Amino acid sequence: MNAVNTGFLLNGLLAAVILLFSQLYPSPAAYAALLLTVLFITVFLVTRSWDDRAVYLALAGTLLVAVFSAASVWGGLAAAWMIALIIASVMDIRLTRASAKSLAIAACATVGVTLFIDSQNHVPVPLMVVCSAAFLILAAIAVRKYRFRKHYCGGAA
Amino acid sequence: MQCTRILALLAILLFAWSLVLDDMATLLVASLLLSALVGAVIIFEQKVREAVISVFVERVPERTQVRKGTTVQVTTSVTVTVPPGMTVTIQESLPSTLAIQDGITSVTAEQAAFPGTQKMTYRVTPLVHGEYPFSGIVLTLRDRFFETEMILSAPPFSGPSLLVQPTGLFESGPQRITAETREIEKMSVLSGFGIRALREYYAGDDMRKIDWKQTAKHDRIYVREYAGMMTLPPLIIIDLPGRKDTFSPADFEHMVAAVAGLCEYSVRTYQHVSILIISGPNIISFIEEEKDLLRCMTALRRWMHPVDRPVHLYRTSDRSDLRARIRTIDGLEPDETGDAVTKFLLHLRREYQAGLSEQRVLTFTGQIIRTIGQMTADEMYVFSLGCGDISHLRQLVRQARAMKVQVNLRVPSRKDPVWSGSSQTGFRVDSLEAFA
Repeated sequence: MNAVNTGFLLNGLLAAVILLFSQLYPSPAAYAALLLTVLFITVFLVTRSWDDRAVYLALAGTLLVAVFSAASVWGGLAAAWMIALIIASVMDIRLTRASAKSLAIAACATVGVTLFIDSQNHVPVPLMVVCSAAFLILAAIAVRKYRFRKHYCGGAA
Repeated sequence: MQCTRILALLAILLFAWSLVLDDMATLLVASLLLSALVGAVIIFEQKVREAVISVFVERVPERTQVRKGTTVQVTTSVTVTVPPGMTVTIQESLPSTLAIQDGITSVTAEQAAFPGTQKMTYRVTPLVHGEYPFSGIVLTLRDRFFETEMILSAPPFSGPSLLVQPTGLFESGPQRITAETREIEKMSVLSGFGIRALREYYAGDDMRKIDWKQTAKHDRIYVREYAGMMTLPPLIIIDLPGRKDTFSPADFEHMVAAVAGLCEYSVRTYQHVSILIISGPNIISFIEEEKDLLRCMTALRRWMHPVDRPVHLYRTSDRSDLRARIRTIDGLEPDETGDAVTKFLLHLRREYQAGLSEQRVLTFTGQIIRTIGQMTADEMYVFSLGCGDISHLRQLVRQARAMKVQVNLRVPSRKDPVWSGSSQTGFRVDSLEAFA
């Protein structure tokens, strides 16, 4: 199956997921999400020949997930996954053994983040936790990178 | 990269938005975006490590010991495994003292099933003497989201060293190389049809050359001396402009066209051509008796561009210039008791006299004598744009004339003040024409 067909299939799945969750958790936000799904699919169709198509899809998708998460956090996560897969298909990122492993880790991480956010009532604490975690991970990467560069780059590190 | 920046900015805005409105849904979106970006960073760094660990560099310079200003060809082979979804640009990291003349110093490797070997062949000219190790390579690794640059200068990627010997301005040692002491031996194998002279017969002369009419008339055996046939191609000397010189691109194109035309004519008429490429007092290349026009044109294409000049003459006057100036001053008969101008002339004479005792044969002059001396040429064509200091051309013309070689100077315009007074400034050339 080529990337175009995969993209259309995933868009259909996205619409189905939104429809399903909007029926399970009916609210004004869920209906707004339905409209935003139409917007997302329109962006998907219109930007087919554009450069940086992924950026436009990411922007439209972010709006959709933000609105849909107000209706259902888990629905928002599902929509986010659908959008991530659509963007991956648009960017022609193939599923390999290494990427499947990364995908599994990312799935676990996002489920963990969603669980944590879902268990909280206010933004400041989870915001601090998420940002601190990201900061710690990036710091660890930076230290590892520095040591690696020192070994391979000689005096230029 | 642009896409990644936009997404990062969006995540920050969403975090701010969620904090201001205390909106958990927005926080979730921002967190997911951040997670995606951090994940992409981790994957990218992993790929970078894989690529860098797989790098193997082999660098082979043509020579490891060269003289300043000599062009050296270097071949660098880099083997690298490019991870999926990445492109790797490999760039040779060279010391600033080496000027790149031509060739490839950067290649881009795409993803392949097996580690690919990328080859870079280029030529460099050392501008300063000393020992210069090749510093390594610069890897630029990029995927859809990120880009990073790594300067690999550890021992496996750097070296070998290029030992650059200095080039003096003057010839070393007490021995002077002068054109006056060189024997010029030119024999014409082919004789023409014209009679150059008649002379008495000597034992061993060819009987076929006896002029019977003159013999009968004078009652002595006379032989004819036939004129020699000139089949020697001219030596073409191209004086390339320096990289920092200001010159008209149109003039340079005209010069290239004129040189190419003369080379073609020489190959077609004389079956070969010799080209000496210089830039100021730097010998760049010498193509000796090239018979293949195609190879000749390829060499011209390779060299016909402005080059770096590691050595400069700084308008150096040689001994004959200084002697001529002293003679001119002596001709004015200055007196110690004279006015300020006379005193100045005497002071100038003393300076010239001091310079004369210090002055030796220039290295460039020696090189020119050795190059022209080994050739059999009666005529040379010198192509120059006349940028900046042209004292090297004066040296060239003077030595060529001392060797009885006819000098034809080809310049952009005869009206240029640099050339218009050429006979007064030491350019006693046989012909001066414009190629533009």
